Amino acid sequence: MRSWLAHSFKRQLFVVFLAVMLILVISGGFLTVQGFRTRLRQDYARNDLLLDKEITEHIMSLLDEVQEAIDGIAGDGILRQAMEGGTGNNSSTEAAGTGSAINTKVVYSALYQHTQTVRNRCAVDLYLGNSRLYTTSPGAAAKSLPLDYSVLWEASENPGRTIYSLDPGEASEQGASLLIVQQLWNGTEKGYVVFRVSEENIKDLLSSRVNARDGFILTNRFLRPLCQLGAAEDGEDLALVRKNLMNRQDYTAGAKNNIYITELGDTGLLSLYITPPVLDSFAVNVEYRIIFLLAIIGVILCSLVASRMSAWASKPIAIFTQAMQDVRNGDLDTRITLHREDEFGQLASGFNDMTSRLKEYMEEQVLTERKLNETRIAMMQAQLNPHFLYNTLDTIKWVAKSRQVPEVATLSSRLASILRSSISRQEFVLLEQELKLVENYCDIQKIRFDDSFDLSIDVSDELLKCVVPKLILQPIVENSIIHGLEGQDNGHIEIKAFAENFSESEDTADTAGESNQPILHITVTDNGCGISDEMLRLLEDTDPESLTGHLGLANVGTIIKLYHGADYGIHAERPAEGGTIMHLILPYTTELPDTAALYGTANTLQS
Amino acid sequence: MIPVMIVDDEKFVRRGIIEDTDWALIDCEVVAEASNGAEALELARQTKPLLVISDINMPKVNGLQLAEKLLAEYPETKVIFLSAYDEFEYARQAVRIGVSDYLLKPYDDGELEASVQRLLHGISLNAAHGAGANAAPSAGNRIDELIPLKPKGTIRNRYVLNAVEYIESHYQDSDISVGRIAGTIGLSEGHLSRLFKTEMDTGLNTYLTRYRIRQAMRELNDVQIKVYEVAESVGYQDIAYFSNTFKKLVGVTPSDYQIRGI
Repeated sequence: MRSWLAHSFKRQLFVVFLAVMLILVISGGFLTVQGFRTRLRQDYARNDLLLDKEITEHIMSLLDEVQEAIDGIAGDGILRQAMEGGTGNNSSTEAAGTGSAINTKVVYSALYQHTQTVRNRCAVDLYLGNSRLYTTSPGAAAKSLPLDYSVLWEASENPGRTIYSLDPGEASEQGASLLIVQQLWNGTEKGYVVFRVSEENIKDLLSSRVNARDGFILTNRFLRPLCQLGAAEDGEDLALVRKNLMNRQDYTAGAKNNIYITELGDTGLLSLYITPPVLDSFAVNVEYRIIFLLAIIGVILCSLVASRMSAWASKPIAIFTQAMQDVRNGDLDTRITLHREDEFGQLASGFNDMTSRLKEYMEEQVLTERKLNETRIAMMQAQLNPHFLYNTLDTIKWVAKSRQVPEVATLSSRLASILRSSISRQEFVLLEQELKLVENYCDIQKIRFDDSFDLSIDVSDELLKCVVPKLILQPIVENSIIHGLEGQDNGHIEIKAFAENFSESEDTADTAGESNQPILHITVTDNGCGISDEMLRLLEDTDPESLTGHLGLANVGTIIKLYHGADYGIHAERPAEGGTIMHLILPYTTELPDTAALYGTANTLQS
Repeated sequence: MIPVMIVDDEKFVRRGIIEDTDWALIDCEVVAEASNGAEALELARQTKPLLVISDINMPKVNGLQLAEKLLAEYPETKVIFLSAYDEFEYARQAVRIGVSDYLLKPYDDGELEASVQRLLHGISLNAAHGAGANAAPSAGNRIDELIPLKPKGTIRNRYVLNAVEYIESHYQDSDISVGRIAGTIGLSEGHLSRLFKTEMDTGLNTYLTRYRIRQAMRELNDVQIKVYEVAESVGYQDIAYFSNTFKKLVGVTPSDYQIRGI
């Protein structure tokens, strides 16, 4: 996954976009839905409460009308007389006249008069004791009400107060008639006025006021239903509320529907208004589906935008990558064309600049290399195969011998030997080898100059094994022969060597210290005309810059100083008796120096 | 006499080596010469040389291939390479094959003889030297091994014996010659030479030279003595000629021999 991401700009963009988008869509969706639902619920609750209030008021107005009627009945003398019989106060006596028996008709007319406003809603009965004396519902069968419990009992306990209750005779779980009772009269038996509002009447009164999907329940204070309307008809909501109250829980706990309970004044009646949930599960599902849909649209948009974005950014990168690859493969003519002026555009022009400069540089390099190679080839062409030279010199030697010309044989074999040591890459040789070279050189020069000089070498055996830079003696001897002994018949060259501070014992050599390093002295003495002033001056000049290509006498001192330091070198003398003494001072060593360490100086010499 | 074969593709070089080298002095005899390795191999099978002196760069079969085949067939053969190449690789290969010595062309006069002497007598000499340490008799043995001379006791011809005795008593004279010896004994020069050669397997002059160098070696055991004194005392007036002859037979110069031995 990590590498899948790491290798594509596009995927990285996509994932980032997706993450941001999903967070926004999901959290935003949830917040919106929750806010919307809360707001909706509040609106609905307010609406529900209004409805509830309206219905409650409606019921209350009915009850108020009933109360008015009761008050009217209570103040009516005829009715009092009819219910209390002979015993009565003045007013009733006055109203009833002198007749003791009250005409039933009169009673009914009074009753009807008082109950005119409510009679279409309820039946009005007058009870004396437990039996009904008068009723406004003619068709109904005579009904008795118990005296020792229920409404009549309650009313007799609270004379002058209106009692609201349900009809104990015909109560069911579905509903019951509402009885509104007050004890008005106290004759031989207590007299009650009973307003009976049947279940149907209540329903008639309220059904038009309850919304189609809502429900309404009217109960007494013990939550015994008087009527259940609409959605509440099945009784489940009431049962739930009762159960919750019995268990001392919040009465709405576990309710699907919204339930509003209102007390109807001091009547002890309760109204329960029930509305269905504002948003049912279907609506919630729809909301979540919308969020899900949004997310999917988001994913599609994200991948679209990511690919567009990455194309926008990665296309130039791809171009750069390809161009880099081309350059790496050696195509320095690679140029990037981007019609953009942003950083990519600047990068492209920078890249183009770089490749063109690189190309120039490379061409320059190739040119230099070619020149160098040409020089090298020219050098190699200029060099003969040395084996050819040696073999030819060998043949010359044998031809000379067969033709009885020993000088030619000597010349060719000595020349071959000198050639070998001068071509050799060794920078240091044994003194022995250097002396052999000088001997060979002198053998040749003797033949050339008709034995006009001789060479003697006086070097002790142990000094022969000293290590010295190559070709330091030959130039001195050459100078003696060519300049010093020119025109002389009895020239003499003598080479001597001696050691200073030298001890056979290694201990003393070790403790001798820096200043007492063993030193090798070599002198080359000739009896010629003496060294020239110019050559003396040249010998003192030890600046490496003045070195010429060939290792002539003037360079011997410089070479020694380069190899061994300023303490060593060459000195020339012109002794009083004539001739020249060349004096070489070298470190006494029998070990080959580390050529790697000397490589730098050797380079200086070659250049 | 040790049979020797010379192999070089250059005629002048080959002839030069054969004619310029004093083969009799070092007890050798050239039995074959070849211009390339193939020819040399064929000749070697016929003539069975014990010493082969060969160039390396040759047409057809080169020196390295020749030596390899030759030593496979005749392991006792000694091979000396002559080459203008001083490259390490050639020398390394030569050593691997079992070549005995390697001389750079052009070599100095006497170098080849010295190499042969070192080669043919060097191994037993070194062994004797290692075993006998510095004992005096071993020095004498070394001389006998390096430059052997037929013992006087085995000489049957009276004239030859007389000639040998004359040499023993007059080797210090620089003007000694075959003519003078023949005159003293009373024989003609040619007769004496023939008799001597038949009896001793070597010429009179060669015998004289070998005898003188043996004497010189003995004298040089004294570290005090000067080389020119030795040359004079064994009958040489030219010190360079003495040194050259000494080197041919002993393998080192007189001064080197005096200091370090062989």
